[in-house]
Amino acid sequence: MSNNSVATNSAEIPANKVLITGKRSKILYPIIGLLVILFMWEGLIQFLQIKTYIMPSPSQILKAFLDGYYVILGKNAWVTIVEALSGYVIGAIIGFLMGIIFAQFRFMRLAFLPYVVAATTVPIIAFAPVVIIWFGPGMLSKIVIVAFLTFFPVCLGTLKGILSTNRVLKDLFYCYSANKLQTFFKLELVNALPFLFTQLRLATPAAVIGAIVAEFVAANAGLGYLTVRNWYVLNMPRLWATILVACISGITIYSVMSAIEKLATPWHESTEADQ
Amino acid sequence: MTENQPIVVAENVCFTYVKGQNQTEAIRDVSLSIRKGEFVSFIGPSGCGKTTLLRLIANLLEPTSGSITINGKTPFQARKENDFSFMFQEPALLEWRNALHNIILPLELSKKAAREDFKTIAQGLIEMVGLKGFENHFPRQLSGGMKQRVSIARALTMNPPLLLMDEPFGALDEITRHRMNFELLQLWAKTNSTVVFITHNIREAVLLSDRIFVFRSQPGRLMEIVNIDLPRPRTIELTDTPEFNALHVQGERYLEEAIRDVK
Repeated sequence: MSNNSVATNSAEIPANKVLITGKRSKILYPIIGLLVILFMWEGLIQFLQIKTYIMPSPSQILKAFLDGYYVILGKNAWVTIVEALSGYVIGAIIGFLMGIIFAQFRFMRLAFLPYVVAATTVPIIAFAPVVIIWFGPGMLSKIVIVAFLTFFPVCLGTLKGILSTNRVLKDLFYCYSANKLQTFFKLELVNALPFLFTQLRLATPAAVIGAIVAEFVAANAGLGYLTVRNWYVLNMPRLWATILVACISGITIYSVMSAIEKLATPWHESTEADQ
Repeated sequence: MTENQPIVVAENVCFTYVKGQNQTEAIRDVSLSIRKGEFVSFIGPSGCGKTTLLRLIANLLEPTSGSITINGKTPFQARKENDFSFMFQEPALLEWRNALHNIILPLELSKKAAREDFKTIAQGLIEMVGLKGFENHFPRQLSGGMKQRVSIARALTMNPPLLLMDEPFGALDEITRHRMNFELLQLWAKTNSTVVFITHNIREAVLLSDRIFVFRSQPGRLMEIVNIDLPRPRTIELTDTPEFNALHVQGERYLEEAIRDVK
C-alpha cells in the first residue's frame, strides 16, 4: 500500500530486508536495546521523582562509580573473582574425578550416589555459617563453598556422560578387541565431554553467586562485603554499581566458559545450534 | 584350493537369553558351515535368532551349548586376532572424528600397522568407497549412505577374512540401498573376504548371495538353505531375468512358510 511511496530510487527493497543481518547485528541490536532501557530508566526516575535511596538513576550510578568508587570496587571485585574461580576449578576437578570413579564402580554409585544427589539440595545460605566457622572469614571459606557448589553438577554431568555411551559403539570397540583404557579414553571420556562442558558452563553463575552469598555472611573484602556495607549506609548508587559489577563478572565468566565449550566440543549439536 | 574350505562352522549351537526369572530360547540346535570367500545371507522373520547367531560368531555372546569356530579358532581368539569386522545396522561412527579418523580407528586400537601408515591406508579406503574429498567431513555433515560407506571402509581397514553385516542397509532409503548393494558387490569382488549378511529383504539377499540361510522363529532354527546359482558379476539386467525372479519367489515362499509356522 503506502510502502512504495517511500522508495523512489532505492526502490524494491521490502521493508523487512532493511534490518541489518549478520555479525554486526549481534552487536548493534543489543546496544540499541541497552540504550533504550537506560533512557527509559533515567526518564522514569526523573519523571516520577523517585528518591535516590529508593532507586538511583543510571547517571547517578555512573557518577558514583567514577567518583573514586571504581578503585574500591575493582579491588573487591578481584577478591570475589579469585574466590569464585579458585573454588570453581577445584570443585570441577574433584567433581570430574569423582564422576569417573562413580562411572567405573557400580558399588560406589549404589552406596554414595543418593547422598551426592541429596547434597545438591543443601541450601548454601544455611550451610555458609558452618563453613565460615571451619575455615574462617577469609577467602578460604568462600573457595570451599564455591567448590562445593561446583562439585555436584560437574560430578553428575561426568557420570551421566560416561554412562550414556552408545551401546553399539561399545560393541564396536569390543569387536576390535579394544582394552579398557582404550575404551575409556577413546570412547567413554570423549562421549562425556559435551555433558561435562554443559555442566561446567551452567555452574559458572552459581560460582559467582556462591562467593557473594558467602561474603554476605562474613567477610572483610569482596563484592558481597561491599553490598552489605553500602546497604547499611543506604548508599544506593554505590550499591547498584556493586550489583552491576557482580552481574558483569558473572556474565564474563559464563561467556568465557561458553567459548571454551565450543572450542572443546566442536562436533556437538548444541555448539552449532545456538549460533 | 581354499575354495571349499569352511571359514565359519557352527555345530549344534543353542542360545538362551536369561533375564532374571525369564528365559527366552533364541536359537535351538543350529549347525551350519560357511565356505571361504562365500557371500551368504541370513534371512527370516523377526525373532528367528539371525542377529543372535551373528553376535555369537562375533563373540559378542557366548553359546549356551554347541560350538562355533572361525578358521578353526574360537570366536574369542578370532576376535583378538582381528579375523572379522562387524557392521551394525547403524553406521556406529564416532561423531567427534572426521571420516578419515573414523576409518583409522581399528588400526589405532589394534596397533598392527605403523602410525605413519594409518593415513595412507585410510586414504586408499576412502577412495575405494567413493568418498574422495570427504575425508575431513564429520559424520553429521554426511548423508546416511555416505555414513554407511565410511562404516564399510572402516570394516575393511584391517582387511579381515570375514565380514559380519547386521542389516547394514536396513536404515537407508530404497534408492540408496539399491546402489549400496551394487557397491558392496564390487568391493567384495576386490577383496577375498567372506561375507555374512543379515537382511529382511529377499530381493537384496538373492542379488548379493551365493547361498541364503532361511531361519524360522520361536525358537530360532535353520529351516532351509537356498543356493543362488546366478552368474557373477551380478548386474541390474540380471534382476530382470526369469531365473532371478524364480529364486525371488522361492525365497518369498520359504519366508512365508517360516512366518506361517509361528502362528
